[in-house]
Amino acid sequence: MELLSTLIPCEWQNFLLLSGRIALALVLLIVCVAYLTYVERKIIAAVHLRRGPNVVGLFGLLQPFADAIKLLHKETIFPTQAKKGLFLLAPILTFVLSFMAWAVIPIGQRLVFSDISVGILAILALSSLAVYGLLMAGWASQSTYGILGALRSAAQMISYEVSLSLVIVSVLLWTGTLNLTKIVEAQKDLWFVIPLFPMFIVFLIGIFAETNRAPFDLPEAEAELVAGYHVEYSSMPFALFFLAEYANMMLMSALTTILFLGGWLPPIDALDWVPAPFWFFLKMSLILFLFVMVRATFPRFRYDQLMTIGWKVLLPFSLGWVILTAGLLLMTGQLPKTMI
Amino acid sequence: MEFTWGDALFYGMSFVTLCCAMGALLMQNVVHGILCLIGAFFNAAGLFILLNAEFLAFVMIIVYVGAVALLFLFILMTFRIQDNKERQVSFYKKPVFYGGLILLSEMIFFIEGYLQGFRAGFLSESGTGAGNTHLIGRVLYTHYFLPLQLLGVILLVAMIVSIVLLWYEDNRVRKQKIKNQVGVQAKDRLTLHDVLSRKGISF
Repeated sequence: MELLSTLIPCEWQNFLLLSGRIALALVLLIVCVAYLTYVERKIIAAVHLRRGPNVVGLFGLLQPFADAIKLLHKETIFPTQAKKGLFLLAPILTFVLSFMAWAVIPIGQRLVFSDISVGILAILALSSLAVYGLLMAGWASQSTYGILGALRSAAQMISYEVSLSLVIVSVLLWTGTLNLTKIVEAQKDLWFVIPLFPMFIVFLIGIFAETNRAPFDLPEAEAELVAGYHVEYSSMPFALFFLAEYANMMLMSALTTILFLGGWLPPIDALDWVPAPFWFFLKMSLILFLFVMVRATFPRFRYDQLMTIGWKVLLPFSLGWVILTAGLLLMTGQLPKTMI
Repeated sequence: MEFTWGDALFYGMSFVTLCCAMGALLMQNVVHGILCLIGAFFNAAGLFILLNAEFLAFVMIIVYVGAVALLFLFILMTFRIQDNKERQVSFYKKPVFYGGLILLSEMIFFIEGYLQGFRAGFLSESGTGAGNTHLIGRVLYTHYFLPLQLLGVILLVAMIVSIVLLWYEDNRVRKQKIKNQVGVQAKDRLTLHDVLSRKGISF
């Protein structure tokens, strides 16, 4: 370390240190994503009374790596009609965007890369960009299945983003700040899942739709669209889409944890000595478990049902709750001081 | 004057914004054009961040990139547009050109006026320590409250009009009535009959 500090000028040290931290976080995230796929297969297998992956390594623990190596070895196929540039750009964009939002997610007190004042807006902006990856993929592969899947996913994501934002607004009414760290700190006495329980449910339904997961996995409905927007993809580009989907699941669980489950705060103050990230990841795993269990138990919705739920049920409901929350907070004088 | 990283970023992003805007006009393929437009929006948001207007930057991405451009792309993708090689780059028609000139001069006029108001009014408040998200909210819901509400009404009217224009009743479409489905009882669907041998039944 001494040698290092003499060799490298001071301003570069910080830069290198930060890069190192980011690289470490990225590697950890990717490993988490890989094991999320393993855990999902194991849980679904348990639900189906099967064994799941159990051949590669102890309890099949090396299965994710075997899958990754298999995908790396395969050939990347370009459809003849495909727009090559966009066809390659789409998975890269999806993958990058799904990891970018982690820059503003705090996993503990001051354990965050960039503690910006509009953190929640940054996450909303990045998640609204994610649609483009899918649309580009569907369009660039110039295949009917691909385009249909992409259009479906785009329509679905815009529809549910509206109610998601309204849910976030109702949380912001309690906290009076857009900063994610302060949102968690505002839950010191009371996690928002208790006063805002109906909104928590709406948020859960919304994130299932937003990540294109079952029971709203219409963009990739195997039975009708083969695989949807990534039907023409193979090898590593396909793996990027796959990883991005699971990274998005983790991101959305992290967001639910921050908004409703008190982030890194322990359930009771006596458990303060346990490191903060432990609680954060425990709560996140709970939501992820819910993701997997819902996939294992729920049938897929039809497309018109999906739209009906989004626009005719969730949107009026969450709008009503925002007004109710605002009114109640104003009546009891509980509105945060920054908002008056 | 020293050339800082901020300057480099500013010139870089301005250059990319301009290139993307040109691309949006000149691309042969419409979808590529829209993607260029999105690139321009995105870089403009970057410029906002350089100006410390992070709220505007993210709203720009959420509204323009996440909704407006997305709907453009959505509509263009549902049409089957072939790669049209004959779509020549030609100079725009005269009325359009003059209209553009008028809009440009108006824009310069407004920006001048607005900047002066900005320098006089709101910028002095930023010393209070509140972020600019806070300041925008404060100005929007006090000073500009009436225009804001008016804007809401205009958008509502636009929404109602577009729904009324596009809504039509089609008797062939069969809608799901969840209440009826859930309310079904066994006796609505199933009747039991005693069938006598060699007689049969009629119902």
